[in-house]
Amino acid sequence: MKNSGISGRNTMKNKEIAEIFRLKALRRKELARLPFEKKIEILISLQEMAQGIKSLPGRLWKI
Amino acid sequence: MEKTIKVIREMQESGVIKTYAIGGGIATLYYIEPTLTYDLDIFFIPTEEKLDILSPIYRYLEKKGHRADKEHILIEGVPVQFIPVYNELIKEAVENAIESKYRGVKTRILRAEYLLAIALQTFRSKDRERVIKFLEETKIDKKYFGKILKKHHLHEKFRDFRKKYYEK
Repeated sequence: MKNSGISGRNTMKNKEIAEIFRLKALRRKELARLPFEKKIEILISLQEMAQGIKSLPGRLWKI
Repeated sequence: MEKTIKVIREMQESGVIKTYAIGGGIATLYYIEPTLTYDLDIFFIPTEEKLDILSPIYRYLEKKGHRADKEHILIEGVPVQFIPVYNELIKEAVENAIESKYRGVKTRILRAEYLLAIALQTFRSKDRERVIKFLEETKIDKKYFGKILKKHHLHEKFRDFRKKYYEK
């Protein structure tokens, strides 16, 4: 009884994790379909975030 | 970035380079989800084959007020790296680049199938990751890709790659 409870919880957890990864993959495909201009805007945001972490001056695109 | 692209296009129209195409991380970004990159890689075919093929580019751009910064040249806020085509695959990739627009400015971008083939050829760890992302996130013309692989002797490498890294 106890074991089936634990294995039942593990099955649920695995399903949830599988669903998380499935949604992430879906999200990546959606992002891939964005217009080029929008992707460049996201890139600039990523550069800003990275600079905040790594403190690398002069790497941001100033456009 | 449209100002940067305009400068490069004008340089090509002035005959400093024969033709060019955006490659590397920015070309990849065109097809898959945005990932961090810092340079705009421009693969180009020179107007003539000689030893020093980068100097004319740097001279032209510096005259226009764009300054060199180590291996890059900063054009309208974007670090650009000019890479002359260095093998048949890259040359063919540039010649067959797609015409696209960025904020109304015409430019040329390497086709997804060529980016994939180049990644297979170069095969650094980030190239392997790039191959997987292309396969998962975008549609490629499989027939066209197959022809490129065959011509440039990459067919077996791709087959082995799929077996090792991709097939579930």
